[in-house]
Amino acid sequence: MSAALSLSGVEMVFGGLRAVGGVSFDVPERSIFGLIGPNGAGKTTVFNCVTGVYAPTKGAITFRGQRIDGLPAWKIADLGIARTFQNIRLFGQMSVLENVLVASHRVTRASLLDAIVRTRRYADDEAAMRRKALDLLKFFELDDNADQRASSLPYGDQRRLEIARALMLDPKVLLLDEPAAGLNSAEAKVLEQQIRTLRDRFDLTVVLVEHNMQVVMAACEEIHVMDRGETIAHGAPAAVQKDPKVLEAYLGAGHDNAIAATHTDASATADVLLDVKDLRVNYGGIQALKGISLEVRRGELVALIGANGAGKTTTLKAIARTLAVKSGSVRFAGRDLAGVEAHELVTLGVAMAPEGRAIFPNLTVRENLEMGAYTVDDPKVVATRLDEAVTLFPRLGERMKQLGGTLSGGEQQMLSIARALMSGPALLMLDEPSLGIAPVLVDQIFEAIDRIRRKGTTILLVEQNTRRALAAAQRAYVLVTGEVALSGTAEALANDPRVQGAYLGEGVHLD
Amino acid sequence: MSTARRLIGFAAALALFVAIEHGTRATAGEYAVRVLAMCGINAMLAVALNLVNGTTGQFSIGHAGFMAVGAYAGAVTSHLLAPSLGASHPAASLLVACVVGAALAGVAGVAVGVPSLRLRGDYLAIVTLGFGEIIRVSIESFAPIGGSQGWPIGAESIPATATLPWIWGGALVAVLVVGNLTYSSYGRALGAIREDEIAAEAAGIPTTRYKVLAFAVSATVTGMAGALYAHDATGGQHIDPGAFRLDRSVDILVMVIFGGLGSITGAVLGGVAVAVSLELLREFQGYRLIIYALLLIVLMLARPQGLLGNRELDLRRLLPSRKAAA
Repeated sequence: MSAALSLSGVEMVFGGLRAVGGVSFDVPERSIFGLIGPNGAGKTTVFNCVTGVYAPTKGAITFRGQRIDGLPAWKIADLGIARTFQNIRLFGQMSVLENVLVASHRVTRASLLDAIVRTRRYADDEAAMRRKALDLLKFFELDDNADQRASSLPYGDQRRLEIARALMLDPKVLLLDEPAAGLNSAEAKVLEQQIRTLRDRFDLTVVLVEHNMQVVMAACEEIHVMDRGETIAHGAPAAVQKDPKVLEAYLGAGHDNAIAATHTDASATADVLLDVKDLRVNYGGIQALKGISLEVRRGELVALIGANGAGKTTTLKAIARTLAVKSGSVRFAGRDLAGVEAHELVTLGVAMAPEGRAIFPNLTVRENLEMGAYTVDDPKVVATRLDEAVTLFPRLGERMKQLGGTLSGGEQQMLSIARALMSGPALLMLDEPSLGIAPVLVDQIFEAIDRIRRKGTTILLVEQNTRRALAAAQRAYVLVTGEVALSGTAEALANDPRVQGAYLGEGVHLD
Repeated sequence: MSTARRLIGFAAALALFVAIEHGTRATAGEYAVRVLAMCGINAMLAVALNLVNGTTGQFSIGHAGFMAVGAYAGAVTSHLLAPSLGASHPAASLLVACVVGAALAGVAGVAVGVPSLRLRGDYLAIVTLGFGEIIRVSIESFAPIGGSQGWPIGAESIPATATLPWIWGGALVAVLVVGNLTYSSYGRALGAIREDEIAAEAAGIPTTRYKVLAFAVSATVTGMAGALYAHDATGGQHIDPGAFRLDRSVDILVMVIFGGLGSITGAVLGGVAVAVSLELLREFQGYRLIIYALLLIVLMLARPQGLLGNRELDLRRLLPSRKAAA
């Protein structure tokens, strides 16, 4: 079998940091190939080298016999390697159809003059491209949204639109960077089948970077495993799954008992810290929240769970006052938050680690933490809290002088939580702390969350990983399309079949 | 639409402009014609700059430089042609002057764009700012074209041949060229660059080349506006380097932001609004620029996205619904 894509000794060094250190592998033609490894393994860096975002420091990348390392990104796309991005990169202000059409530009035969004078050739060309783009949108069931703005699509649709855009290039190789991030189990299952369908229908070679093992193991025919920039294993899924080196690097030692459930902890008092009543939010004409009521008592960890688009993040943002609320009330420590500005919340004792982490990429880890303590005047308090942050996340201690943007996804998440804690909040709101992070780091983060709560900080957690969320929380609310569908103790909900029905779709287990 | 129909439409528009010029002169006088001419020049400038600052998301603040190149190149061309073509066919001479002015400005656009469009945001602004100043200072110190004294428009110097139909015809050409470019596959590529350069590259778009292209087309249209401005027959006295200072670049930027970044009809409205409001404020004399600045601040507070945002004013939308031809 010939190789569609072949890497030999590819090395990428960023100012002394070896992100990828001599990686070699062949991707067979028309295969589905997995590139996996814990966070910070260098997977996305390999993607960026292959697609020309970076020119590798050393080594050769060959596409169907042609050297492509060091070529500009557009040229590589032109040759037939298309990709999607870990943090979706759509042309937000443009329509769904236009997003796909952008990628047709390289195949148009019409010249600039044809476009300006609107010749017949331009019109024919444009019509053909439009038909092709609409066919692709139809395939992804996005044709009804063709004229909508891309940024207004729900998350899962944005992911699929990115794939549709990539396919418009008529690629031979499709690189997918964490396509299952943020999808629930049912959606991931669909994705896994879609990847195979894509390969067959568009005659593709697919390379997948993915943390969702269910998807990787089911979809991939061959897997390459990296850890800290080095290759640690390569082979068929079944073999890789059993490889002790992979297990150690990927899953960590003794991962099964990483989370000790603490439902019965009696530290929660009846004192209501956060009281949300009938909260309503509209996005344009769409009702995002249709009257959410919930309460969080002092010392509790309350989880907010539900499928993508259920309104979890919107609820947090509405509480944090970063978006406009239509009606309803939010009371914090007895005080009505109507009229309070988002930044004043920090002074009142509410801190948030937002979805996507939102760390300051050009500040060092220490500066990021210090920014979190912006409202704290006493330098001694800041120093103590810095120490606490390092105790909580020792990894951050090793990286104090590193720029935030150079941290791996998991480390950025730690930094985001630690930064939120620097203001000494009474209520900490966490938005999807496990999103796109390797299991071993997710364990560490959830251990830290548990310790934060035990030290007396009340936590409101939004999380798509239901099992994790319910294991960590005392109580939970299940949101379905902007409404609270179920609520109760985490223990009861974990055993409630309705949660699976409402949230995961039928026949899918909480695993 | 067939080519013949488009040519007929364009001719009809020119005829309408002639009628407007005569009508205005007869009813409202010479001064009103002059204001209308300023509106046309402004519209051209704003539509051109919008292609770079609005559609492509770059930031140029040196477009007065391209206007100066167009103005002086056009003026020199007319001067050289004056004894021959200019005497027998003044219209043809003006057309040649416009083409030369536009082309040289376009070349200058490529020359500035190639090295600087690899850079992002602020750097491009600095480079274009420097370019504008270089052009202005070079003209000031070059005596054969009047130097800092300027070069008079009128007999024996630059022929005053650009009447209102010429200027509005130029504006129409600017709107058609930039509009068709913006709403084509090329324009989509430019929009993609504005939205996300890395994703645009991954979609196969050579971003630097396209930014240079947008910059060159923008400079070309600006050069045409400059050439028409240099031949202004509605009361222009002279062209001088002082007219192409940074103030001019800022003015054009204001028109684009006023109308709404990314909107071509908005740019036209912005150009007209700036010309008209500056004229209406003339009676306040010394306070004119203060009031003008206050108006801008109020507009930005009340409507930060500009008059039209990034939408187009579409008269068809006001008519009973009729499905636009695909």
